[in-house]
Amino acid sequence: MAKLIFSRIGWFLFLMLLQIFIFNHIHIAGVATAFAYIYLLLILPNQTPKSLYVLTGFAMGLIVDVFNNTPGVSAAATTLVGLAVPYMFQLLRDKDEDDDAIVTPGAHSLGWAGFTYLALTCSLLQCLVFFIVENFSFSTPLVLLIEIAGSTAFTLAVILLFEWVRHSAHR
Amino acid sequence: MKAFLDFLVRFHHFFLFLLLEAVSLLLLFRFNSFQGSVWFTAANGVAASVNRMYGDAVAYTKLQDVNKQLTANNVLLSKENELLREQIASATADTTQTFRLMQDRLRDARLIAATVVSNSTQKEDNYLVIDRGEADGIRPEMGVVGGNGVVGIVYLTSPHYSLVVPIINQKSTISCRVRGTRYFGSLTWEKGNVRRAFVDDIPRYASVQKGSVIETSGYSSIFPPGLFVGRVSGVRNSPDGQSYRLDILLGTNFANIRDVFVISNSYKAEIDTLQLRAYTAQDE
Repeated sequence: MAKLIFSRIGWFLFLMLLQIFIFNHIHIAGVATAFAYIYLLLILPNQTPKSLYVLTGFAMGLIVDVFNNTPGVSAAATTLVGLAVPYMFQLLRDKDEDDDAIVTPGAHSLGWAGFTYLALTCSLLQCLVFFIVENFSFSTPLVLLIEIAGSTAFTLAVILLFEWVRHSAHR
Repeated sequence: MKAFLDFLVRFHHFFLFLLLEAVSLLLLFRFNSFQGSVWFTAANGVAASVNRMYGDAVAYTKLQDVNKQLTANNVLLSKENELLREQIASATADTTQTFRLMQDRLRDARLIAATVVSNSTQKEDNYLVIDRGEADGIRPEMGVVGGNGVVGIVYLTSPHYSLVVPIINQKSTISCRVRGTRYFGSLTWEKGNVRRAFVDDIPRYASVQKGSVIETSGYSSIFPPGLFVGRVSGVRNSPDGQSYRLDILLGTNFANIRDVFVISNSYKAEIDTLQLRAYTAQDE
């Protein structure tokens, strides 16, 4: 358990640094940005209190915002993702599993299809809120749509890459 | 109460979520100038529309008082309107369509405004006296027009007054024609009705309609052509039976004439000189 906690704190630092120094500066075609840090919310164990999910989401969003000079934008988006993840994980996992067992969402517990579904939903949620709040106008709906779609795809790709690496190492 | 507390504890993460979202939005609007401006503009729009609804409601309750005020105002204004209407009617009684057309025709001529100071309508030979004379540039043989048509011709001048022979003088003859045709005759008057004159010497083959306009012919240098004189009110045979005599309803009402204009024709001298030279040439 302690190992798991330290592991997640390590992931937290790693993902934050990665996001701040690398992904925040990559804008494919000026529209697609990866929000790779939400990967942490996907791999928190099932015993994590829901309020900790929300708090973690807010904290990560706020840190990214501070370095990105967009106070409140990522925080608003990732807090929502933090609220959504535990519910979605409950929906996706097998009903007959033991509730007390410590399970982390991932390809090994949900299967690749289930995890991809979870990651896609979270990425979409993140990008939807982020870009709507950032643009704060629907005057250019096409641009907004392209930004959301592109960023969702990019984020999903990066998350699946992380998961693939982690899954491989796990085995 | 316990159920409520249970509810709070069970969903405390949701309230935490709401709190953190609120903090996020606060940060968003506080530190992002674009989103902040949009938010405050939108908020102001909302506040304005709420205020307008409130204002509308309050105004509705005051409608009765407003209605009373409006009625009072209406009465006041319609009284004032009547008064002003009267004033306008008295001030512009002479400014008619005829006068405007006449002004149009006389655009090139110099007009000297004058006021009738003495008038007669009951005699055979009526005269008008106007308060402008030689000092104002008036000379004998100048035409005089009023707001409703031709008035007469200046006969004698003193330094500050002039005597005018109006149409309603048996000695007056003015060359006139029927508007739209070339038929012309001389306008004469007989004692009696001051609104009625005659045009003689209209050929029998001329088809003159009742209501046709009689205007100056311009054959004399006194009046430019086309000035309104009156309308044909009847067509009958002349005393000698050779031509038509037209009954004319005069445009000018000599019973109440007051403001007139003297036409100072700058070419009159030239025309007279030409005619004089023609006569002298014939004599030689």
